[in-house]
Amino acid sequence: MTLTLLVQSVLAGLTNGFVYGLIGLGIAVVFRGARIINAMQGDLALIGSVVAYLIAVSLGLPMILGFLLGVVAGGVTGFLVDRLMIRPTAKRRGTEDSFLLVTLGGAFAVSATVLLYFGRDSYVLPGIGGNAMVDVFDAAMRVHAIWLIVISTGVVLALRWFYAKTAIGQAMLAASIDPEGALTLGINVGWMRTMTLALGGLVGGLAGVLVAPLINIQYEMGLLLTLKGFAAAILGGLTSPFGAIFGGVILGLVEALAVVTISSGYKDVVAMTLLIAIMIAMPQGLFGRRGRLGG
Amino acid sequence: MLRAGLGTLALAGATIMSPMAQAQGATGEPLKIGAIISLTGPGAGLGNPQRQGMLLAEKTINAAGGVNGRPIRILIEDDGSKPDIAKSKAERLMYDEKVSAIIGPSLTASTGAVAAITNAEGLPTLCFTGLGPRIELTYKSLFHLLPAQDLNAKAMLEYSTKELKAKKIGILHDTGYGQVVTNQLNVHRQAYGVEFVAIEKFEVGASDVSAQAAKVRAASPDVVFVIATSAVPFRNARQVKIEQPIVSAIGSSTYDYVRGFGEYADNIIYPEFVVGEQPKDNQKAFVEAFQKEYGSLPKNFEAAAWDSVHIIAKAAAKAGPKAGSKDLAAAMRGSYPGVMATYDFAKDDMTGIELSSYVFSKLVKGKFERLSFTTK
Amino acid sequence: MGSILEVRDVSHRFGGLQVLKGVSFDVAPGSITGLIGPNGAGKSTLFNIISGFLTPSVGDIVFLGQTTTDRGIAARSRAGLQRTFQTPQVFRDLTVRENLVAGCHMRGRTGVLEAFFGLPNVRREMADARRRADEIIERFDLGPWREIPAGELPAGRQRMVELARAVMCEPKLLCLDEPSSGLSTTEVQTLMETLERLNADGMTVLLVSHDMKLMEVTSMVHALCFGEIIASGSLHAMRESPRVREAYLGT
Repeated sequence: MTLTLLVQSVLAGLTNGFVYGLIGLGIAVVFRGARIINAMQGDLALIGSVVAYLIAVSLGLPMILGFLLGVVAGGVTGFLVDRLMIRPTAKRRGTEDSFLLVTLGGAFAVSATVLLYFGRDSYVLPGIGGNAMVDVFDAAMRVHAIWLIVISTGVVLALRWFYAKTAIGQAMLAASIDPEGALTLGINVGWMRTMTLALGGLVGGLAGVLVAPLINIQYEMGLLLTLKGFAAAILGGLTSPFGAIFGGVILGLVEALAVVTISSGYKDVVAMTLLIAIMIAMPQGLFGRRGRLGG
Repeated sequence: MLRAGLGTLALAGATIMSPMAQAQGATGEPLKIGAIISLTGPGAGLGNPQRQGMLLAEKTINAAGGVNGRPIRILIEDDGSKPDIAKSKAERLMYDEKVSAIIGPSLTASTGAVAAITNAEGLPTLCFTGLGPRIELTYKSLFHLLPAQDLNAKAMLEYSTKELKAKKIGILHDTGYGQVVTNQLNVHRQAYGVEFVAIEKFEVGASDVSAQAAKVRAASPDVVFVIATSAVPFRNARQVKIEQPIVSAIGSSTYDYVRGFGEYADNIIYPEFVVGEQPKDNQKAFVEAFQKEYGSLPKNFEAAAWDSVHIIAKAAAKAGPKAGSKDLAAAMRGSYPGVMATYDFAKDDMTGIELSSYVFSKLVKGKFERLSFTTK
Repeated sequence: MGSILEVRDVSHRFGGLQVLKGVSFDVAPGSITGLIGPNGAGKSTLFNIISGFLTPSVGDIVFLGQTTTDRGIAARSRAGLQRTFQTPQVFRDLTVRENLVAGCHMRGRTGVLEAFFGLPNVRREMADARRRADEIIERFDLGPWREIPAGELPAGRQRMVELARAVMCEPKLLCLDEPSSGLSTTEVQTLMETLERLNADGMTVLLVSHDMKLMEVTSMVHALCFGEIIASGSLHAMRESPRVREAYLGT
């Protein structure tokens, strides 16, 4: 084990960890605000990245425009998911499982649509700073990955501020903690849920445009990301955006270190065993109890 | 243009040359050939080029008068990359359509399913996979158009040792296609006197394999084998600063895959059979005809499909219109100078492709260049 | 000024069961009005209809001169009708202060976009809300528990938090559902004093309760029995009424 190898595996683990965490963050936002487990979170990322690709690569418009529209596309999709899928289910007195199933169906639908229009090929989305790499002790990290980490951290802080310091954020929390109580206070609980889904969509779209340059856009991308993101979110306590990032980083680092110190064949065994162990020891996740306000 | 047309005619004419040509009616009933390939599912990357190749062959042969005046008709079915669907398509083609031969499948699992059925009827089956389990050696009607993985493995080792003079090799492979090839590499390792200083694997859908690639790099190999059907390991390998030459296998050399490598499609070597940019002499006519028809260059799978149709046509011409399945199969069980490779179906591995049929290509900035290295 | 609340000829069936029959009464501004009756009299149903949790089969609810029969819970709250529940409903994970801030401030007066950009009026609104919350916390003697999550407080104190939260909105009508259930005698006393203070400041209250002691704060009482109002008047009059005593007090 050389220093280079160790550093490289830590960098790879961090990068992947923030990828998982960014998706997990979206899952945490939606669960926190609506008590819904959003199986479509990874596919929101897929939509965001596809839109960014169409704008920036197919149409050749500036990358920043593609980026912004990708994020917006995620938000709009989140809004539509609430209006077209969640609201009708809620009207019919859906339980938590019904919502999960509905979003799972949505995830497959998105995946199939992308397959239909884009085929099986993978598509390359340019990253921030192109393919530029940064040298760290002879190991390499993509400049874009650094940006991803910085922006993710920014998003966590922004969400913290949003939930703690704005009326809307607090209303969203109240509406999810106690919908009936919130109603009697005049909070429009249905609208709060819509906004939570839209916020989750924005976060998902952002995740898409940030993650796609690292893993390539492909029709299966959504479900794969959702699985890893879900693991990250659970590890972090499911209601905490910060916890999701933290959980993702733990997962990513454990995977990378397992490959490098044990064997590449045991990567998933080690990572999942650790996950199970943590969940048994701390069923609330690492940050479960802090899910009230802020982080 | 005219030369290409003449070349095509000559090629077509050569395959249907038959000393026993019988006078036929003006339009004989068509010679029906069934094809079961993967047009959807994970195998679509193989099936679609195969489809292009066989349709071009059909068109060319019919334009030149068919098989002794009989046109050929290829009925193409999609097995969706699933063996059970392949099996039911095979039954339909055999019993409902009463085809004279079957081309395909594209994937090993489907081949296993189909071959068992067609063997019962002795129906000639030309599959796009290498030799499978031992039982296939008893199938009198089965023909393989692609080499078994051990030949691919040997070709990779040939190039690495003889041209690149490598002693230490690092392998980065996926648990599907990559595992199969790696197993064969392990079998032949000693014969070539090389050491595998790192063998790292990853699951087929993995989105990032930087850690595994870094481990390969840390072992300081002379050459790195990357064997997978996705672009991810190729990108990650270069990103973690693996600067050694990369040698890969035929499964990831299609243009679709290479596009996914982006700017990392450089300094990668493939042992394969057809390099459209610089075809061998006997491949030129086919490449030109393909480019004229489809506007793009063909590679290995298109050529194999082209060959498959021509093999059947030639055997049908030789065996005559009254030939049954067994006669047709017997007529095929010999050598055939194909476009993709020189076959000899009488050989033990039911393919007869030799190392000498391989050409070696190198990806240079996204384009294939044919190397002068051969294994002779 | 007209009545704060008018219940007009409200009847309600649950399937085959007639729970309310032609109930009508008014709540005068500045009064503390009580609803009494034995179990099964229909008090909860009537309360739910008034606060918007149910739509009556027949009849209307008029609040501040506007017919609100079809309007939802949130709409009624925004119009100034606040209600509490038999089991104190507070946001368990939020502190007492956060509960109060939630109480009125978060009706989304500031738009979403403004919230995202952190414009000054967002911060000002928040600061105002915090200040009001602190005032009300003092008024209800909840100071020592300001930063404690409401779910960790004993039932009596939670009841106070719920009440304080309802008051945050400066409602025109405060509807209390069995507010003394689960309270000790001393706590009931505190509750009565608080209600009297609020009423002295001009708050109109509608009160449903079994607790005759609590009813002493009322100025007008309606007795409900088998879905019908059988008597209306002061509490003293209720105690004297033979009909009421027979239906309820005599049990």
